[in-house]
Amino acid sequence: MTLLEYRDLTVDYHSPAGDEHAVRGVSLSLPAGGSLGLAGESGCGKTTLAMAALRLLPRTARIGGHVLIDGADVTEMSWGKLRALRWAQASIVFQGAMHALNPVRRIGEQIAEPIRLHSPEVTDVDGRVADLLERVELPTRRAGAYPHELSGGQRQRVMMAMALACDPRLVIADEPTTALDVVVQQQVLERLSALVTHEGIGLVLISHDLSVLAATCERVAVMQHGEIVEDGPATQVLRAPKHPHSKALAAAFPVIGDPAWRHVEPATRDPAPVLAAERVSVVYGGAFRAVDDVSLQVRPREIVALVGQSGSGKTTLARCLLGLQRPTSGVVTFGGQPLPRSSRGLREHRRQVQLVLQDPTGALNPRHSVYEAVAEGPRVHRLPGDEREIVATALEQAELRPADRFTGRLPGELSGGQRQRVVIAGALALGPTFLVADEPVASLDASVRGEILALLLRLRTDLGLGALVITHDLGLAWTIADRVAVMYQGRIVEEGPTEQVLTDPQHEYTKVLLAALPAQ
Amino acid sequence: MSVAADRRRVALRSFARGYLSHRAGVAGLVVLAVAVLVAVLAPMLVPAAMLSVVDAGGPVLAPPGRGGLLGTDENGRSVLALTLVGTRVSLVVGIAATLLSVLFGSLVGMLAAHFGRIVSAILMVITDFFLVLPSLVLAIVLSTVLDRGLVTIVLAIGVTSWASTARLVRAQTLAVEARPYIERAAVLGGGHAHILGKHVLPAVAPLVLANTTLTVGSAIIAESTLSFLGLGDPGSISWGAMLRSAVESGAITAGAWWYLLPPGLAIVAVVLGFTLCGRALEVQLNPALAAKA
Repeated sequence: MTLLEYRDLTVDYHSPAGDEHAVRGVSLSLPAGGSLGLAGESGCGKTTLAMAALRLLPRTARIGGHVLIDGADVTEMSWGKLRALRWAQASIVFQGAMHALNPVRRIGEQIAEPIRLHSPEVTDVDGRVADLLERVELPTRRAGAYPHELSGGQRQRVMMAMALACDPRLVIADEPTTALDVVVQQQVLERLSALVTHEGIGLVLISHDLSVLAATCERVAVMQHGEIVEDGPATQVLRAPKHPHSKALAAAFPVIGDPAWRHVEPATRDPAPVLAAERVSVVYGGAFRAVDDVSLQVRPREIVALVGQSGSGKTTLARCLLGLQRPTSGVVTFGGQPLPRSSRGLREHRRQVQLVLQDPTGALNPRHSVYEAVAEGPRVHRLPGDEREIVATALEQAELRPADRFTGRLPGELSGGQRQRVVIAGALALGPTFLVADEPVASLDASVRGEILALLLRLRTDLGLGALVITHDLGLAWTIADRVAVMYQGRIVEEGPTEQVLTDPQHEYTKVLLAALPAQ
Repeated sequence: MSVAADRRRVALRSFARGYLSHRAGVAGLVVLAVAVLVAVLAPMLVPAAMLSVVDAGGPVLAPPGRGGLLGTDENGRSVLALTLVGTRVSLVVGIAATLLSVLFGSLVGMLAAHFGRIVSAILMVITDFFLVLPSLVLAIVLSTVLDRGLVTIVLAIGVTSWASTARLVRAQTLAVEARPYIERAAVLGGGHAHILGKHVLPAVAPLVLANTTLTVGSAIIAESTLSFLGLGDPGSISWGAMLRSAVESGAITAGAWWYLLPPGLAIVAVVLGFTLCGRALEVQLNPALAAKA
């Protein structure tokens, strides 16, 4: 019996600027107890497709075609039947648990909410909540916690518990692992697989990462511009994709250990470090050691990847290296000299070492044009020379050509990749010798990632810029890093040339990280 | 950069168009325009002789009709003339007091949120102190201690109303400073002045502007209250002073409603004008507040 079926579904969004065709004639089906993966880049319509199944689209959306759940047409259901359908028969694990959970209510109450709404006759709601938490492997005593007290992975599991609260037959998971690091991702995917095998729940998994889908789903459908371009068994779509877009998606994720993915040539480097941390520790509240006795050196023109889970202390260490935070003990040196403490000295230091932040959307002031964003650094430092030329040069170095086309635009008018280039241009405008990049490609689409990484490599060749790249993505380290340092709970547990660390790991934790990668 | 200027022009035009589509906002703007016009043209509309207690020469407490359009006061002066002239003091004092309180409150709020910790603790204690202080009592005390006059009233109102603006601006600054682009500005080498001036202020300004128009309304009422209580400048004519004279001269017992209504209605009209403008501005600047279709 087909659990979920899309029959020639079209979804259009009406707006004063015109119609946007988000979904164009999609036909898919999912049997009971089966699992289907939907792959595609941001903007291809996969979230719209998922929301259409429960009629959760905004009022500006017009639906054509049919969506059938257990044979009943959702698009023509009455309000009462729709309410009964929602959550009791089909539920959604939303993207971004941080925003989907109510920050002022405890998670136990939030999980209990659908139970109280759909089954008011249930007396032991707390027992049900505890049972759900066990199913997603969260300790039951955490039911009294608020969302901000939990980690990203735990929040995602709370979302899954909520989705399971009324024993639905169908669960739609929208990018459930995007913001999570590799180890937590593996746990969440394992839980989802267990749901399908043991409990016979139909699963639709949406992601831009084909390897995640291949690890969890039987079938994978690839979407582009609102249409399904390829549909087949998961392993086949991952290993032998037919459509060019599927090929591009499959090709965007590097295979660790494969020399074809290694874009760096080993070269002899000047051994004197340019940026170094010597026995740096950052201790909060006298007890919590965020960074524990870390010594790390980066040489000129070298790209070092600092790899670790969220909460491992890598961002704190990076902030110390930039002078944004003072370490509790230990010393950070630049060019052999300890970092200056005065604000004027730190200002000088800023010209040498710059930061590229994770989220390019938040990193740019939405009111400032691209020109103002890039010119901000030179203006603050009162750099000599023609400001327009400095800005144009920086934009060209960040590969935004021709620079005039971009100077007048606002960040909201640019794509994610272009915004990241603007952030990089802003850093380059100061003429630094070193870049610290905090998850530079985490929020970008797969196809754009490669471009930004290639840009970082080109900056090294053309401008002699070294980089410290902080990431949880081992594939990124394999692609562009000369050396890798693995960080766990504030300590560097393994460090060495990339080929060596990632193909022949010595420390237990590195082995865990490599094993947690989804099927390659 | 001409591109930035172009963009600002386009933004201003769309803002104006949006504002003008709200009837309430337009009504408020019209009322305020009339009030400002009257205040500016008052010396021309009303010759000084009509305001002189000695030279006015009209019938005492005469109702409208016999005593002119709006009747006369206890000195024979035309109530209409007094009301028109009173616009000046009310508007000037209201706007001046608001500027004082908003500028000071915004500064305190921004500094408290930006520097945090000790600075914030000290500033917030001071703010809370002024927030809790009964404003009328403080205004009365100030007016008694300092020389009687308009400056004192401006000072009294300003001192008692800056605290709520400070709280508002502090909350908004905290929200703005949590965004990553503030950290980027710090990493680029920007100091406190740069971050506050280039990033925080433009983000906070719209909120402060909307709040300002609403504050003017309450400042005008405060001025009227203080004048009514006899704390204003005895020589200047304001609506509150008119109300005071009305009460003192026994207009109520005499049934001289024409002496009480015009200044009272004038206060209502101007404050309503500011409130409607403020509301329309808020809706424009914060689209989330717009009524859903």
